[in-house]
Amino acid sequence: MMLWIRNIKMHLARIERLVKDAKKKVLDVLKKGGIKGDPEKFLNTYLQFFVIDPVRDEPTNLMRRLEHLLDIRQKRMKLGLKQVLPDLGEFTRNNLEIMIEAARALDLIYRIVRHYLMLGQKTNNWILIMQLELEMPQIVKLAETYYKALDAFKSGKPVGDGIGALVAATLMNSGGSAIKKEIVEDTIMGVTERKGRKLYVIKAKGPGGTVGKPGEAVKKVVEELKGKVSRIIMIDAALKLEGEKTGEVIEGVGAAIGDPGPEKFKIESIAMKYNIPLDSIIIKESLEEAITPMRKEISNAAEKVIEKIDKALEERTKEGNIVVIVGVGNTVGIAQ
Amino acid sequence: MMQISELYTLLLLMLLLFLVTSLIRVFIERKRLKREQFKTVTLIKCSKCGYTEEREFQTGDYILKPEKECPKCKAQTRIFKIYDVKVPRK
Repeated sequence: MMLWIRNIKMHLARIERLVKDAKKKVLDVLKKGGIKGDPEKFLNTYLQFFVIDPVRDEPTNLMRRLEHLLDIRQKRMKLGLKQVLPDLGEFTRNNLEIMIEAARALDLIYRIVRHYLMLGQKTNNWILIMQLELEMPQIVKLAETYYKALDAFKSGKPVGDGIGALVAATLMNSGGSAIKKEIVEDTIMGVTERKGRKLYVIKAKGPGGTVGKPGEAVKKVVEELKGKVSRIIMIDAALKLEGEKTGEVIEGVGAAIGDPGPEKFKIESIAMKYNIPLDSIIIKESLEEAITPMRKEISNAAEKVIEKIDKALEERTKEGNIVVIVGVGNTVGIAQ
Repeated sequence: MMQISELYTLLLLMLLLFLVTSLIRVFIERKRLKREQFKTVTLIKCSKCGYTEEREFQTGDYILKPEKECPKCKAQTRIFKIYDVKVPRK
């Protein structure tokens, strides 16, 4: 047990160093942006910021209640950043928001590991210590992944998760100039033509780091078109299993979106209301690849996805049909 | 017949061998991971004539950002892609 504890402490020290470095990186950006007030105090406020889950025993309006809480959280963070950094651009502020999220995740990992280590020592619970020791390599890898993500958001590089947004941006700009507008907060819709079909392409508003509200946008578009949509096609990055190839493109049905629930619920509900077939195309990647700068093999998957969309348009829709295409994911480093 | 002390010695030797091989494996794996490095590349493309150009990523780059004039057809080029490529091992 002594050996296990020693080993866990060694790994914990590594995670602690990552947390300190991550905080330093965020503080540097805050100072560089000309923060009003104490940057450390500001960061500490948001590092342990929490959201209390809504009651799940009573499912009435569960998704709406969850969405309400998530909206409040996001607005509070955006307002907090705007108050202390009023001169910083919107996109840089969005990137900073994600950097704080990554630092928060790292800090949480550190505090949880420390908690179980101390609890195991205090209660002399060797099973707890053994489990922690066996999990440590994976935990350290996860912490390192969040740390690497900081650099991508700091420099505004597109991340692997942005492949859906990249496909949407490519489609918006492929058939001449599409008409683009901000349909809901932080979400852009572009109308374009492809293969004789009218495409309503949706993606988060870039090039700042945000995922937008694709569910709300799909709901609004379909309602505005009074349900006259022949298909909804969603594109998103999905976690691959170990041994699977990065950048592999596969097809399926359902809402391809990894949000906590509200956005996915809206898409499923609107598709069901108007009986619209819901297709999805996913691009396989690991968690590390999803939140670190986009690898070449993931970027190259964009062309393969567009080929699959073209095939779906030709085989499953008719000329003159309206199709909604949703590029899901974080749009850092990708404009429209 | 093998005595108990000899059995212990044998067990200890086996344990030592296991530890040494594990250490070597960890060392090799760490070295491999350290060597795996990436650099970010910006790919600029002219949508009119298809001319492409690659350069290193610069802060402020983003996909679809307007870039310089195309040297072939003088149309406006744009950043087409930004991605990470593995730096070859030295």
